[in-house]
Amino acid sequence: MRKSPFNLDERERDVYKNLIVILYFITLIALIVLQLYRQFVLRQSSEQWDDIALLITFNVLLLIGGGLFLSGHVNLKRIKILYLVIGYAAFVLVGYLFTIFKYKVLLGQAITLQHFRSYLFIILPITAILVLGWGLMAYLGHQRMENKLK
Amino acid sequence: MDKQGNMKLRLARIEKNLNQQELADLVEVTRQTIGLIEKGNYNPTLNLCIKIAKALDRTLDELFWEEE
Repeated sequence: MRKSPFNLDERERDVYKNLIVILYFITLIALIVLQLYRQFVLRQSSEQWDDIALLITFNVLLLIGGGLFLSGHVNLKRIKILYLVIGYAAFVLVGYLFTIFKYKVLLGQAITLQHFRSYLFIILPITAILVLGWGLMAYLGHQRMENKLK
Repeated sequence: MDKQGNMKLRLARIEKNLNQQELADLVEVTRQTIGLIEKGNYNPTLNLCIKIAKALDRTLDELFWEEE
């Protein structure tokens, strides 16, 4: 006998889990739209939307990092170094293109060679930190899973 | 699960003189969950399958194995 209506069975938990996943992504997309709207349509200063940007950033970082750690499915030893380098380069390229798009197209600023270099000096370490952080989470998650299976 | 649902589970429950609510209480789920399993609209976890099999004194094969 169920002791209380809050003691959910597995099917009810599944329903809530699915609902939470859908609502999480709706909320995340809404936050992204809201932040872009404030930044590029209303042209608000960064103080007025950086809390939203920070929330989105931490959410995405923790979602990917947490997924890599808790699932433990990525075995870094089996991934070729070349693929990791290509992944890193692709990440840098996407970050770079987005930054250029943001300043050139959305904000209409002229970009000089100095800008190109300064963007690169910001994007390279940030991307490296992200990739290393996720790599570490993947490694720890895989080790954790292997220890559980021993 | 076919359109008829899980008839084997339904028959085993009836043979045991249990209604859906009583079986649900035995395996600590809701009546709706048992109803949906019998209708073939919900795939229970292995843990729940084992609980149901034990409650009905049947094996997993007898209740859940689908024959062609």
